[in-house]
Formats: sequence, structure tokens, C-alpha cells
Amino acid sequence: MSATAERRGWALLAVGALAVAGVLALLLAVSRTPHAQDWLPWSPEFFYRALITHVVLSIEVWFLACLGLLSATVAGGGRSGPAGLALAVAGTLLLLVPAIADQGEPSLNNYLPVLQHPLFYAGLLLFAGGIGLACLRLLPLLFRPPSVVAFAVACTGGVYFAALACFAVAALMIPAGTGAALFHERLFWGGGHVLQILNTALLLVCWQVLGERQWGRGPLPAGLTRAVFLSLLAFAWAAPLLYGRAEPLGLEHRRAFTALLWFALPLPSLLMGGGVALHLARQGGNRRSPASLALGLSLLVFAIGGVAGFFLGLADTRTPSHYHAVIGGVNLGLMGLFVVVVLPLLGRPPSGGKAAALQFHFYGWGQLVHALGFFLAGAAGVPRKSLGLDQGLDSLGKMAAMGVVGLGGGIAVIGGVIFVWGALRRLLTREAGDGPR
Amino acid sequence: MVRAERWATVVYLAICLVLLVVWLSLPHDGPATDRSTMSEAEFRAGWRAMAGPDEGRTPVRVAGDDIYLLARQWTFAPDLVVAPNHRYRVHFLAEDVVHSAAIGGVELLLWPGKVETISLTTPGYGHLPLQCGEYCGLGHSRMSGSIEVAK
Repeated sequence: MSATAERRGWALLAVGALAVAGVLALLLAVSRTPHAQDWLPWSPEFFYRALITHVVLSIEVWFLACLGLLSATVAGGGRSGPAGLALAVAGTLLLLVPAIADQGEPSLNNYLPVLQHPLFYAGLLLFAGGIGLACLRLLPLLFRPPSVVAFAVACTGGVYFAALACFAVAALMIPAGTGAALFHERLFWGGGHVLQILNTALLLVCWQVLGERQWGRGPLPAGLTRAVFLSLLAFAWAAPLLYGRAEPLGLEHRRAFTALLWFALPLPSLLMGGGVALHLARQGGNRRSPASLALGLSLLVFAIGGVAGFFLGLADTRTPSHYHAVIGGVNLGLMGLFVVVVLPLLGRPPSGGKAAALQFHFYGWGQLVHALGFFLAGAAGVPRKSLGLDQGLDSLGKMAAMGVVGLGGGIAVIGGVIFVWGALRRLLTREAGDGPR
Repeated sequence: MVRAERWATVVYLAICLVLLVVWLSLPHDGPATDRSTMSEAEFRAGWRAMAGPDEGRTPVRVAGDDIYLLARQWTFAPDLVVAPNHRYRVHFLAEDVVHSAAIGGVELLLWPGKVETISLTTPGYGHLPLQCGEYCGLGHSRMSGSIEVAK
């Protein structure tokens, strides 16, 4: 498999996962619509099964397939990349089966919610192994990086291995017979936090790449940029050490990993974000270019999500307000990466025009409104991960806030659909250079 | 300029190293709580006496200094009415799976069969928030207790 074919494969997996996640989101909405739900051939629990699969596809598969794509871009060639891609695709297909078959007990634990079904677990393992295989080729780049971007991607790959180590250590340490809810929560708690470092690193990679395209240099001087990524890697690699001090079922373990993000993420994000803001303020030329829009909106949405993280409640919707905004920021960066770099690199540049700008505006401002609604609803006491009567919408303020959530979500979906449709159409179009199918 | 960038890099890495060491060495176990020696049988006897003949199906006005709360998927039982500015010993027992009780700025992990106790002084008025902070199943997010402060 050529390096270009591998890159296209990762790109298709990443955007394809978003497309399927979008279809599941639509089914989620239908499964909660009176009368319409009678037409679905699934049980009432289908809502949770679709929700979990939607979350895993739209966050883990999308982000990690983008990491696979970046690994193929900075260290393409060899056999581990295509083998990793094949495993990751097989794993993703397996992840879909339990939701479609309406099987598996749902567990809405934090970070990596799961369906308790052998095929779902097998899918997770295959997918995780595939990404690991693809990232193996990044490790030599930590010592001999040809560019700042290559070092940044290599560090992000290194963070991924730290997350895998946390999952493995947790699986070994959690005693047999632990209840399913606590088992899944603590199995994915430590590694899940390390994956948040990875998500942040992915956004910072996007800022670096898009900055180089837009301004001819990254947001920060090269040495400082390397230090930023090195620090993220250091925190991630220190994380598995914590299992030796705080056993994974205890309260200290939970708090220490929460603290990890407070210690590891604000400084690198502030530095790189400050660099992006400074360049955006100083830049002349086309402020409406896709790169400029992706940089500006991802910075704004991510920063607001970061600030919301200082005001979290224990179990209300201020938590989803925080993570929808920070994940929205990362998504905007990755959308920019696809539009500005990935599609042109694959010989399939987007057509430009209004649609190119609209996808960023719809998605970015929509996510912002969506997160604001969640924040207001949470401050008024609406519990997270609840539906219908459980939401306790007993005041006009709570109802209005949840209305804002829906409005923002709807606007963001339009931006997401424009992006997924445009990217998939180009990735699936047969080009002159493609081999026979 | 190059010199300034080098210094910035060194200072940044030094700050990160300090943060890393602090994170690894800092205790993260939170505020200390009372060590409970109460057995499950003693708890259940106390709970039955407090909850009354209808077993806590209606809100209970607490008479003494001890409060007994059962944590089970996905509720804290019973609902309570407590006196303002009063110091209570609050005893928790998880009945089914692991829960936690986040109350008065402290969180206790509740293991089935093991009684946990905390001392807490009620505010002058209003509602005392009590929430489960440990994922305990699909209804976890709505697992909160009702403790009303009233004379």
C-alpha cells in the first residue's frame, strides 16, 4: 500500500466514523420522538446503545484515526501503518455490531462508555491495537525529528502509548468481582484522562500546521513549541506511575487524575493559544481563509470550554458544557487540517467558496451556543446524562437553557454535515491517480 | 532574540518539571473523615428507628444528633428535614453497588456493607446538597438526596 493510499484510508476512517456517528445521532433523536419511535425495530434501551456508539465513533475513532493519518503523513511507508489501518477499520466495524443488533448492557461511564458485549470489547481492542501499530513508527522521530510538526506528532503518539499503559495497568490491578459500573469507570478513568492530553496535543498540532500554512511559521518559536509537546509527553508518561501510589478503586486515584489535567494542560494551551491569538491579531491578508477561520474559531471555542472547566458542578450539565466546547475546539482544528492540508495533499482540494467558510461558522458558533446553554442549565441544576422527566425542567429558566442547548446543537450539526459531506465526497471520488478498485 | 527564546524554553521546561513533581507528590485524598466503627446491623437499627414505621417513604424530621442514610441505585433514603445550625453525625451505608456521598464539601466512597460516617454542621436555612459522585449505573446522574433545613 502506498503512503498516499494509507493516508486516504485513515482519512476515510476518520470522516466515515463521523458520518456513521451522525446517522446514529439521528436515530437517537427518532428513538426519543413520540410515535416515530414505534417504527424503529429496536428496544427502549437502543437509545443508550446508539448514544454510546455515537460517542465512541465521534470522539475516540475520529480523533485517533486523525492521529493515524498524521502518523502516515510524517512517517509514512513501512508495513506497520497499513497493518494498523486494517486493524483499526476491523475494530471500528465490530464496534458497530452490538448497537445495530441492539445487544449489550450499556455503561455510561466517563471517558469511554461501553456496551458490555464481546464484539464491542473486541472492537475496542482491535482499534486500540491498530492505532498503536501505526504510532510505533513515530517513536524514532522523538529523537531525530525532521521538523517541528514531526516532533509534535511523535509526542502525540507517545501520549497514546501512555494511555494504553494506564488502561493495561488498571485492567491488571482492578480486583476480580468488582461491579460492572465501578470496573468500567475505573478501567478507563486514568487512561481516559491521558487521552484528554492527547486530544489537546492534537489541537496544538493543528495550530502548528495551520499556522505554518497561514503565516509561514508556527504560533511559537520552534524551541518553545518542542518544549510544549515535550511537557505534554512527560505528564502523560508520568501518569502510569500514579497506579503505584493510589490504587485504582480509591478516591485518591480519581482525584489525582482529575488534578493531572489541571497541572498538565493549562500552561501549554495558554502558550500556544496566546501565540495563535497574537498572530491572528497581527496578520494582514485574508482573514476569512479556511486556515484563519479554523485557527480563530478553534481558539475561541476551546478557550471558552477551558474557562468553563473552572466552574464545574458534580453532576450537572456544566460538565458537558465544558467538554462540548473543548472537544468542539479540537474538532474545528481538525476540520481546518482536513480542508487546508489533508484533502489538497491527497489531490482532492475542496472547492472553496462560501461552503468552506460556512462549515466553520456554523460548527464553531453552534458549539458555542450549545455549550452556553448547557452551562446555564447546569447552573440552574439540570443533571447531566438525563432525559425527559429526569431532567427536572421545572422552571422557565431551565427550559429556556435547554432550548438554547438544542438551538446551538442544531446549528453545529449543519456545520458538521457540510464538513462530512464535502470531505467524504472528495475522498470517495475516483481520481486519475487512483488504482483500479 | 535566539537567546531570549532559549531562556523562555528553559524557564517553561523548569516550570513544567516543578508542576510534574508537585502533581506526583501531592496527596490527593481530600479532607479527612471520621473513622466509623459502626456495624451494618447497628446502622440498620438506627435507620429503622429514624425512618419510622413507613420506612422513610415520607420525609423524616431528624430528632437526635445522628442521621442514617441508605444509598442505593439511584437514591439516598430517606428524604430528611434537619434543624438549622446543628452538628450531626451522618452515617451512610451503600446497599447494592459502590456509590459515593458528596456532601458539605467532602466526598465519601461508599462500599456495600461498610458504614461511613461524617460530622457536619447544617446551614441556617435552605437545602443541603447531597449527590452521588461515583458512576453507579445508568441512573447515576440523578442520584441525589433531599435534605431540607428547617426549624
